[in-house]
Amino acid sequence: MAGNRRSFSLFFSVGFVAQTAQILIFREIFLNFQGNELSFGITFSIWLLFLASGALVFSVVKTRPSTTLFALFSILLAYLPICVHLLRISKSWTALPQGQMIPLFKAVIYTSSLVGPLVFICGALFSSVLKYNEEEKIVSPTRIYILDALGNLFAGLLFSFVFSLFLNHFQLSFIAMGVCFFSLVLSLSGAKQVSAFFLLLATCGLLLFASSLERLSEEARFRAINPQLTLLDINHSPYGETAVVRLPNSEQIDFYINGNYYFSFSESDPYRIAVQAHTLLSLHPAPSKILLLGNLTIISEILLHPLERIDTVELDPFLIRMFKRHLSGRERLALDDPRVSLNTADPRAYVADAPSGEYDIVASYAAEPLTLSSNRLFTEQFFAEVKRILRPGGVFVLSLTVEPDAQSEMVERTLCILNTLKRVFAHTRSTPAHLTAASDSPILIEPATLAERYKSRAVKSAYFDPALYDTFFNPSEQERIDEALRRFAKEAKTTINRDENPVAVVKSLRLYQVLSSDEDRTLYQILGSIKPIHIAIGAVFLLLCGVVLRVVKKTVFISYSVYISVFTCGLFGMAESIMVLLILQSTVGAAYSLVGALSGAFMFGLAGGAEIALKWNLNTKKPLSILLLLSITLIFCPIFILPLYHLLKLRMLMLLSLLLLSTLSGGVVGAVYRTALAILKDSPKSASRVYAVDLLGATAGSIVVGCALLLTQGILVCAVSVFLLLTACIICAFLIPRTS
Amino acid sequence: MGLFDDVPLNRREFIKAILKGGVAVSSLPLALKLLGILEEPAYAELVQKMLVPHSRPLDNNRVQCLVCPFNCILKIKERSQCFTKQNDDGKLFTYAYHNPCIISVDPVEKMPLHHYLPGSQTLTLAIGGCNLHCLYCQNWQQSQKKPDELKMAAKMDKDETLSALKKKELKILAFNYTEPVVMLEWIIELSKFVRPKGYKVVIGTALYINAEPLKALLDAVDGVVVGLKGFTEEFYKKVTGGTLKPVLDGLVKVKEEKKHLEVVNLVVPTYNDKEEDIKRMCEWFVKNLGAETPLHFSRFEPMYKLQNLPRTPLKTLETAHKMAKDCGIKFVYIDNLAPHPANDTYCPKCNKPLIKRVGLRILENSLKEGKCSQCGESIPGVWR
Repeated sequence: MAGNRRSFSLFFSVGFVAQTAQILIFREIFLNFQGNELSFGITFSIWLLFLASGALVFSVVKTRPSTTLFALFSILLAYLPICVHLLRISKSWTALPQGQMIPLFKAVIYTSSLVGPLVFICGALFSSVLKYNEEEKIVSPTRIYILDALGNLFAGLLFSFVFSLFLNHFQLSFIAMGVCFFSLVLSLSGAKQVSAFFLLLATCGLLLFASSLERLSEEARFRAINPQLTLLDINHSPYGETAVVRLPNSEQIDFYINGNYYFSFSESDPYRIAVQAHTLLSLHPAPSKILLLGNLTIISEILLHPLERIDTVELDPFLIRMFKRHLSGRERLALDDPRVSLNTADPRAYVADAPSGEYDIVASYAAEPLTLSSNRLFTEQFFAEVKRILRPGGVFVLSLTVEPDAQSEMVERTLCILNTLKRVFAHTRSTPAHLTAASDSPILIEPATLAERYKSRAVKSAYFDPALYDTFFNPSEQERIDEALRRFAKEAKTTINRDENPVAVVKSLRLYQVLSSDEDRTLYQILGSIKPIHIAIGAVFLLLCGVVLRVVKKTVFISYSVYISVFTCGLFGMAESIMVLLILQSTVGAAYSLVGALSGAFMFGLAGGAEIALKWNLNTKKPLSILLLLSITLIFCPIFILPLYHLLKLRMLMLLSLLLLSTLSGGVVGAVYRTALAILKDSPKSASRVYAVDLLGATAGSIVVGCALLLTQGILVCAVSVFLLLTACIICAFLIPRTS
Repeated sequence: MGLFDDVPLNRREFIKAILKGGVAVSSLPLALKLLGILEEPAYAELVQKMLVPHSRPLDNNRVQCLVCPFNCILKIKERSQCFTKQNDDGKLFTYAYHNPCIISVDPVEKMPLHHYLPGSQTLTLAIGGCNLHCLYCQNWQQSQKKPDELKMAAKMDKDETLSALKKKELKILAFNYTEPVVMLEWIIELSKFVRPKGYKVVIGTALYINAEPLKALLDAVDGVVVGLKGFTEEFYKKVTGGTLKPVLDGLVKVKEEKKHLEVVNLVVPTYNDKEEDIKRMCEWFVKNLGAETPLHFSRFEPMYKLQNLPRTPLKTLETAHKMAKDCGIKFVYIDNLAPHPANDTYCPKCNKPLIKRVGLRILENSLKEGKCSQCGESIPGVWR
């Protein structure tokens, strides 16, 4: 029995390594393929599909469990760091010119082909431990499911809260390897145990070289991005990766954040910095206190104006450290100016907590709203928060590229954000200076007025001349921008970008698609055109399938309705998780640790639900029906959380609600797993298949919600559509005649 | 009966299942169209077309466009590389006709023309489409689309063009932003109409054009700004999709035709910023275009498909500027970066700053009848 108990570690490590691989791979995808929710949604769907395939195939294939386990673990663990490296250098295989972004479709193909085998093995491992368990007669299949969930939970929490702060990806891979080989040493016997022991030692040895390997791999990655860049410094933080690179034969130092070019050092780029600072400051007649959300590099030029205080907010504390390390001269001195206050905080939270009527200018240099995390700085709710902290006559300025004569994609994205600004502010202007301004007072952008303001402040900049206002606020270009917006506004529907309906994300993604490649055009066309009616048609189709099966087929095995129920529950679990993540991203932003906590809560629920179902001995269709009815009730809960949060402004209460909802959703999924398994007589083969069908349902949920509906239709439509699908699936499951 | 039951499928059932799946998957596009998910935008009211003279019929109703070195051979209803020409019933039509997507009043410096009526304004027109596909195109929203699919396009014939010039009291008609080569027929038509009335016509082009249409184009214009995008065939192929040689031949031709010429080179980091390439370009420039032809080095900004490339370092531009000067080119400028001393025009003899510029604005012009106000040196250009 002691030996058997030691095998618990094996079941635990299957979940542990699967979660570790997921965290590492998705972080790499984020860094290498300009990760956004859409690409994550697609990749995650493919991930789940491979996982389900691995579990299904290995439930059918006859193998010697211990040998298979040993082999699968070894292959998986050897491939994990290789996969990390291959993802990093995959840009060099795309044959894309340096400087060009990887199109979504290509990114998904590369990611899937590299990650697919790894995920397939993760799925196969689950089926293999079930078989191993059957052979060794250690514990019931549900317990393995629970231990697997606990492994997932432990890895998620450990990596999100502890390891991601201190360890690089190679170190993390090797730690996962160590844990798994250790569990093999504990569980196996004979030659395999000895081999596992030596592999464990080898892993410990590799851990010593992990930092060097990481450095070599990162250098290779930047060579893949552009072979002529020299990597000078790199830093990982929970918010992403900051790299400092240098072009050949140049003093210019460039910052890349998450693999994307961000800015060049102002010492070598003083003209651009000066233009950014002085165009911004002249939008207000007499600014005294300003708030900068991002773009610390312009502070030295801003300080040339007679200001009382400049508050700056940067999300990532590591970024400020990198600035201080690499900036020199007046840029470095500017950061220490007594008028400057450097704050590391989430910009949205900072604005929410700032006193009312505090600033003359609030300038946001947030990245394009390509992700939910950046979109939260472009929503109506955020704009209302900004308005509150502006003084009378204060100006909110957004850094947003709008070009004269812009065509559909760019104008649609801009219109969406302008329409949203108009809901909050009385006056808005999009200017050729790549700035969009909003205020309750009229915004003057005539070059003469701006030049007069600049001159009246006696500003002396070596890199700016007030005559430049003629160029950057060129009246002819302004006229053309206004005309483009007017013409498009007539045709475009008034789309408002809100936390719960992040329409600007898809509009920005479409713009990004044009910028990266035409290959993705059809994909975006399909995505943009999917409406709830299509989901309703799908639901009716499912119902018809159920009716046809009922009428035509005399005998259909009971397993069909059970599997459909499990599929439904998988769909629910994933849809609910994605909606919860949207709420988290919209309110708290890029807080990876909280994503880890939510994922942990779901896994905790999963284990708890299965355990309770095991204890209560749920083994008939009745509890299954109740659980499914519970799922269609829970699917509506996310709708209420955001409005409640905006009403009460209690962040902690909102976070607790999300954690509770994740736990409950996980609980339902776990309980359905156990109940379905009990109805199917608890065989390991059924355990694998139920697991696979659950994943297939999750795949469907990920496609419907993550890839299609959430970004285009918002949380309410999404919940209603998922409700329709779930209801159709449930009716379908109960329409089917049940003959065991 | 299936994967999820303990009764395995027999071979016939398996094949049946595969066939059903195949039919379902292959009918997906049709289903998407039926559901209205796949639709192409079209702006029928903007379809204006005219016959392209520089073309020849081929067998099987095919037709060959002879305007640019791509010499596209088009089947019925097929569009050319440049998005503007289409084979309609065996004849080649251009759809870049009377439908500008940009109508703008710009300073002539925006072309950039520094030696052509400085401080003047132009009525600038552009129609969608371009025969090159530069990865860093600043006007990709117009240049990489069909003229008839642009929402911002408007109808504008020669009378409307003339009245726009009169209304805004402008003397120069310019074709910029997208590629004039692809709207050759329209430029010729407008030019024949406005030049006899005293208006000047200038173009900003990549000059990727065959010899015969180039002759027709040059006959229709007074000034040309050529974007010499790089100086290697490899660069042209990789970044623009075209080739270098026709551009160099075209530049020589412009000079031979004695048209006012200025050349712009956008310096793209890690692509065309090698010192040896810039040096070779400058040497060729002096030999073939003369030391008095103005040369502009322009700064790259992350744009269109090259979003992930840093801006051109200031030092690179200053080095290129110095190399051009060392090669003997008299008028070398740095654009897209101001205020910088290399934005201004200096007398090549006494080095007096003659025209001071900030961005697109002229701050000071001390030229006297095209000559240096200090030493009397004649400065090449069109000054009045």
